Amino acid sequence: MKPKRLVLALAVVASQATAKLRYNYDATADARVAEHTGDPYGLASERIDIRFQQNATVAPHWVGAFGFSAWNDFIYASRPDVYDHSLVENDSLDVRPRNVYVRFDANRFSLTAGYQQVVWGEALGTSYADLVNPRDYRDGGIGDPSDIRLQIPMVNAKLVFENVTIQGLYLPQPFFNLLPSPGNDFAFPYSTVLNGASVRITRQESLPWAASNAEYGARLSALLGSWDLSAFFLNDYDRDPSYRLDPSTILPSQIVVDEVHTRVRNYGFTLTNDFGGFLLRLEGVMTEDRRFPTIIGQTLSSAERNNPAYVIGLDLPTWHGFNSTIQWSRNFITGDPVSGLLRTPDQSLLLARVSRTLFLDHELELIESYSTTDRGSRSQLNYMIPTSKKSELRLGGEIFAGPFSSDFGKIERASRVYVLYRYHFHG
Amino acid sequence: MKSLVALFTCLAVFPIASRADSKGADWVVKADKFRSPDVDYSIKVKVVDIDGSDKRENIFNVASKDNRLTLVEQIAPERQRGRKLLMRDHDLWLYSPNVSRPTRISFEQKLTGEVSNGDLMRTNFAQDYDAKVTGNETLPEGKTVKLHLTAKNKDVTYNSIDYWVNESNARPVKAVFYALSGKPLKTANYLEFKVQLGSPRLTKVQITDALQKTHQSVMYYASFKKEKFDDTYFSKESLSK
Repeated sequence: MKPKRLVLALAVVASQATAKLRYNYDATADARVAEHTGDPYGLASERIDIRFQQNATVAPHWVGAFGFSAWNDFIYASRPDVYDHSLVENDSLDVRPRNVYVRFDANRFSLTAGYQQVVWGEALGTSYADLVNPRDYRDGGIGDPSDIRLQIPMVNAKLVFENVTIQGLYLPQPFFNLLPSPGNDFAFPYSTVLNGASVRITRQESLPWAASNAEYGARLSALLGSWDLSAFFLNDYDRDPSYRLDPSTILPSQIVVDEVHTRVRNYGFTLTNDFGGFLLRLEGVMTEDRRFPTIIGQTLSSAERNNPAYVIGLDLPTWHGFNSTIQWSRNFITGDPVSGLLRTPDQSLLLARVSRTLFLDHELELIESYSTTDRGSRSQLNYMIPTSKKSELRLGGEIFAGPFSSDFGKIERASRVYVLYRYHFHG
Repeated sequence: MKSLVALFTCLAVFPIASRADSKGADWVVKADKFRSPDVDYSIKVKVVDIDGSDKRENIFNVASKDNRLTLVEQIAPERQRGRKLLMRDHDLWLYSPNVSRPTRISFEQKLTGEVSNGDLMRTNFAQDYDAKVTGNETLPEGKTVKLHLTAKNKDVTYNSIDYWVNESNARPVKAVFYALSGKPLKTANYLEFKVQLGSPRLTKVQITDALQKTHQSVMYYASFKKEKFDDTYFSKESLSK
């Protein structure tokens, strides 16, 4: 039996066999409808999400968890006037394990094996330190961060002392970000850049389960006074792809490219401190040997460079119930300039967030992001209305703007407002 | 340079010396015993937010060690289930299942309704505030000692508090909480006491917004249990379990 199947089987058995001792389940179901705010007018999403999670505890040392998540966006099938049929196959349906693991807890030591998510860093949006789990960007990043992260199999060992924690990770199989396919509102506008050529991308979702493909990392975190510090490294395959031209390409009209993921090394740190209501967050990551895709004319290639990135954030003291954060991040490429990059080589983003919990648990959140390097912007609004103890209504919007040369400007057509209804189950 | 240091020292010490007195501190220590047991413990706290005729209920499990480590886990309503707050001394982290990571936050952020994080996490005024007796007042609850509490540092929830303590038994009666500007933020009325863990404990508090009197939150404390916790239970790294 393959190790992956063994972990799955163990988790299922543990979560079921121990059910008589102590167990619970949580589930949520979402229904969401989104409407474009500009061209192409009309519906932008008709999506249903389901998440299920069962935990069982064999007190006090063993925990088994079994869960899954599934979603379906019907929009690509229902709007053939706007979306290419290939999106029905690539970007409209997903079912995958969610928290399927066995955990052993013994006082200061814990070992978790199976599908899980590990989150480092705590910056908003662009948390460069949050690099362990790949993400699903096919929906443009709308949704809860824990849903956007793809849960992958790993062994996660932690040794916890009062003020120091040591963590080790072993990931036997690399998994990669799921990027929007060509034609998706959130996709890079390949067709426009490549003079109207039809573009198809063969996705590489993972590499085989093999010792030579294994990824590994470690993190040391410490509380020194009120300073919350961590340092980490991760030797993994780049979660983002570079590309190579597929032999089936017929230039100049039909371009087929294959995603390629190469091994990189990440070193980073995080730091937070509360200065009497002013909460400072600082994160930095250096990624070595990352390959950046390029297009010159119709020639697809890539360039290898180091990629430092950092975020500085400040939470301001609560003012009339409003919580606010300002954050500045920079992500750039070192070495000689690269021609034909698909991204802006030096990205700086200024972000401001304001949130308030209103009376009776209504929640308001506004996030404005502005790229100081390419003048693109993103405006996000979320308003949550509790409709019962088990349900909530979320109203939101995400508006992209800027010149076509900017990263946000390229996906301006994805701008939308949405309504989401969520129901929670528990037992 | 030395004289400058001496001047700074005098300026720093003088206000503290003038705003605190030992009688005030004694009253606060006695009143704190009703607000939190002096052993490691767990309790269940129900918070009912009231806005006119509309009511919402939140329930939390609270675990506390040495009055400096506190872990709060929300268990109701279901849409908020699994949210956790961890306090280590004056540092606070929020864990939310939909983000799946601990995020550092400040004490003054609101937990629900009129209840700030600090209202639930820090119940020991003696650790956080200097106290001075400012007089005696007769309230409907009886004769009280009126105290003025001033924050010992910037990490606490409120800048200052007017605090009324029952003169005969040292039970807390009422408190008015102030912002740095001196503006009143809210009023707490300490309403019920029951014997829990061998002594009378505060079991009901009503918190009212200073400006909008129809905005109220009532906190009910129940299921007091003496516990023995390892420090690692209050680790930030354990929040995601």
